[in-house]
Amino acid sequence: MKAALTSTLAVLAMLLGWEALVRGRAVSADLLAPPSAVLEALLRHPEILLDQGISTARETALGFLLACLIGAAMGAALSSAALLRRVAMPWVLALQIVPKMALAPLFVVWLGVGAPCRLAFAVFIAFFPVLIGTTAGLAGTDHGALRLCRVLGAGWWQTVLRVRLPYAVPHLLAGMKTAATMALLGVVIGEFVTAQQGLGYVVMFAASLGETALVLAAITLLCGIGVALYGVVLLAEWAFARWYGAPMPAGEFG
Amino acid sequence: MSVSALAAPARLPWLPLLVGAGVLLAWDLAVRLAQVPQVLLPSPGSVAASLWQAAPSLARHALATGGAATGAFLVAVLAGMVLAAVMMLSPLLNRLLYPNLLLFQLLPKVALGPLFVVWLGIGLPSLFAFAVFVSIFPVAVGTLAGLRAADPSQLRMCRAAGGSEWQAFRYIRLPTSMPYVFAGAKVAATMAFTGATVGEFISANAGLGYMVMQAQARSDTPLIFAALAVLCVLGAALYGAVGLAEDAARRRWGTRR
Amino acid sequence: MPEAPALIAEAIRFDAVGKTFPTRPVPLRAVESVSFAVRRGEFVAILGPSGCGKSTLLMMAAGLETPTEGRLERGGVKLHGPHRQTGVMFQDATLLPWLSVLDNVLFPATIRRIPRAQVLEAAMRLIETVGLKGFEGARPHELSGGMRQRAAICRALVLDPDLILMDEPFSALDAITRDEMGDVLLDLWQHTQKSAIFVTHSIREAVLLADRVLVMSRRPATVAEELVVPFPRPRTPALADSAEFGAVVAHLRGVIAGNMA
Repeated sequence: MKAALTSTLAVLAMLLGWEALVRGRAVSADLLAPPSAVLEALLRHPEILLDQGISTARETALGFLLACLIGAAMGAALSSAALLRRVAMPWVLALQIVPKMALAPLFVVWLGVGAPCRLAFAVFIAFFPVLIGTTAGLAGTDHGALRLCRVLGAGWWQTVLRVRLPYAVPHLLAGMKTAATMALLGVVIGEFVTAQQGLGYVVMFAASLGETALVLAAITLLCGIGVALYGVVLLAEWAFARWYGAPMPAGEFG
Repeated sequence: MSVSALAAPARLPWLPLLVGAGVLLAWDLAVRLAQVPQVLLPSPGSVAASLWQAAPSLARHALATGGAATGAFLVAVLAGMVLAAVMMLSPLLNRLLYPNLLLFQLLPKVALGPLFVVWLGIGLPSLFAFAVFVSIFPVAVGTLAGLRAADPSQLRMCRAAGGSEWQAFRYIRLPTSMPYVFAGAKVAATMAFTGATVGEFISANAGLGYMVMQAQARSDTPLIFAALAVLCVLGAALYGAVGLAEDAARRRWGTRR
Repeated sequence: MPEAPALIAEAIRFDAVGKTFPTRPVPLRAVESVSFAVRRGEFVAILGPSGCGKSTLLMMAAGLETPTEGRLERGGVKLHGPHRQTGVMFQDATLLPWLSVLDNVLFPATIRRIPRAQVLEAAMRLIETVGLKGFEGARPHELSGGMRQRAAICRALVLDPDLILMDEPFSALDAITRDEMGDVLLDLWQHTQKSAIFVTHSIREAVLLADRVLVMSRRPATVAEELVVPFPRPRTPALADSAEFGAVVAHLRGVIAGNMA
C-alpha cells in the first residue's frame, strides 16, 4: 500500500515537474506539450480519438486472442512431438533474434493496408511469448508428480488435465502478459506502416504537423488500451491464483 | 545449403537446416510452378539476384542502420547498467525512478517514435535517440533484478567480514548480476535494431528501413526481401556477439571462485 | 487369470534381477543378480550407501523400470508396469500444490476413477492416524516437511494396497522429524498386515522398522548380507535405546564397513 502511494506520488511529481518546466518556458510547448495541453487535446478531438482508439483497441484485442490461441496450440504441439520440436524450434528461436518488428512491410505486401495486415502482424509479434510460456509450462511439470502419475497408472489425458495443465498455467499467464504488450505494439507499428487508421496513424499524422499535444493525447490513449489489456490478464491470473491457492511458480516473462 | 549442412561438424543442427533448405527449395518450386506474381512472393532466386544487383546501395544503407543500432545498443547497455547501479545504491532515486521504469515497461514504447522526430528532426540524432530509448529498458530492468538477486547469506558473509556496502556491490552483487545483464543485453540487441528500423520507417533519408519503404512504394518486393534479409543477419550478428561476450565473461569470471 | 492372493505367500519376488542402463560410452550396471522375496505382512528394509542402485531396485518393484535380466514376480505373476495394489512413497512428498491435503490423499482414487465417497472414510481415518486431523483443508505450502510426508504416507495407503514401497521417504527431513516419522510408521504397522520394502541409508531406521534387513553392496547393487531383526512386534520407539538394539546396529555397521573396504 505504501509502495503504491510512493509510486503514485512519484508519477504525479513527474507530471507536475513537466508542467512547471513548460510553464516556466524552460522547454518549448511545441516540443513537449504540458500535461494540461494534452488533456485539452483529448477533450478537443473526442470523436477522432475515440473512433481511432476503438479501431486500435478492437484490433489489439483480436490480435491478442489469436496470438494466445495460436501460441498455445503451437506450444502444445511442439511439446508433444519431439521430432517437430527438433525441426521447428531452432527456427522459432532464430525468429526471436532477428528484429521481427521490422518485418511489418512484408505484411503490407501480402495483405494490403487494411485490418488483416495489422492483425496478422500483431499475431506474428505476440504469439511467441505464449508459445514459450506453454512449452516452458508443460516441460516444467514437477518430475515427482509425473512419476506419481505413472505409479498410479494415470492415462495421458489424466496426466495432462490433472497435473501438467495446472503446472503450466502460471507460465502460460506470464507469456500472455508479455503478449498483451506485444499485440498492442504490433497493431501500432502496423498502423505506422499502413498509414490508414488507428491511434498509431494519429500519432504519425499529428507528429508530421508538429502537434505534440495531440501526439501525446493519442499515446495516452494507447497506454490506456495497453494497461486495460494487461489488466484483463492480471485479472485472469488473480482468478487462477485464487483457485490455485498456493504460491505460484514465477513465469519466464515478467 | 544442404551440402554445407551435411559436411559441417556433427554438432550442427543439421535436421532444422535440412528442413530449412527443403522449405527454400519448395518455395522456389511453388513460385515457379504456380506462377505466383513476383510482387507477392518473389522466388529465392530473384531475391538473391536483387541482393546481388543492389549490393552497393544495400551495403551503404546497412552500414547506416547497423552503425546506428550498434552505437545505440552500446550506449543503452552502459547507461542502463549505470541507471540500475545508481538505483541500487540510492534508495531515494530508486523510489523515484522505479515506478516510472515499470510504467514505461507497460507502455508501447515504439509508438513514441514520431515524437523523437518532432524533437530531433529527421535524421541520425532522432533515430539514435529512439533506438537508445527502446533498448535501455531491458538492460536497466535486467541489471536491477540481477543486482537484487544476490544471495543474502553471501551478503551477510561479506558484512560479517567487515566489507563495506561498496565492496558488497563490487564483489557479490556485480558478479551475480552478470547473467541478468547479459539476458537484458540480448533483448536490447534486438530492440536496438527494431528501434533503428522502425525509426527509419517513420521518417529517414537513409538506412535499411528507409530502403524497404522506398522499395515498397515501387512494389519492388524482391528488394524488400533482400533488405530485410540483410537486416535479419545484422540483428542476429549483434545478438550473437552478445552471446560470445557472455561466454567470454563466464570463462573469465565464472570460474574464479 | 486374476491374482490369487490367498494362495501365494509372497507379495513380491526378485529372481536374479539385474538392470543395466544403456548409457554412453559405457553402459551403467546399476543392479546385479538380486534375489529375494518379501512375504505377506513382512517389512523388509534395504540398506546401502547413496547411489548404490537401491533406488533402481525399488523403481523396478514399482513397475517404473523394467529389469534387463531375471524375473520379477508380484503376487506370483510376472510384473508388467505399475500394479494397482502397490503404494509408493518417494523422498519428496510430491503433493500437488493446488490441492488440499484431503484431495492430495484422495488423488489415487481420482486417477483410478473410484468414487470419492467410497474411500473418504479410509482417508479420514488415515489422516487422523498420522496426526493430520484438522489439516484436511490445508494446502501443502502451509505444512511443514514432516506433515507433507505424513500426507504422502496417507496417499500411498489410501487405496489399501497390500505392498508399499518407500524410497528413502524421510531422508529430506531433519533428524528430529525423521525420528517422529519412524514412530508414525511403526505405529501404522502394528495395525496392518501389509508388506513393505523400505529403502534407507539409516541403520537405526532399518533395524527399528524392519523384520529383515538386506545390506546392499556398492554398484552394481547386489544383496551382500541378510539379517533377520530379532525383536518381536509390537515395537516401540524406546526399543532404540536398548543395548540389544545397539548391538544389532553395531553389527550392521561393521558389515557395511567391511563391505565398503
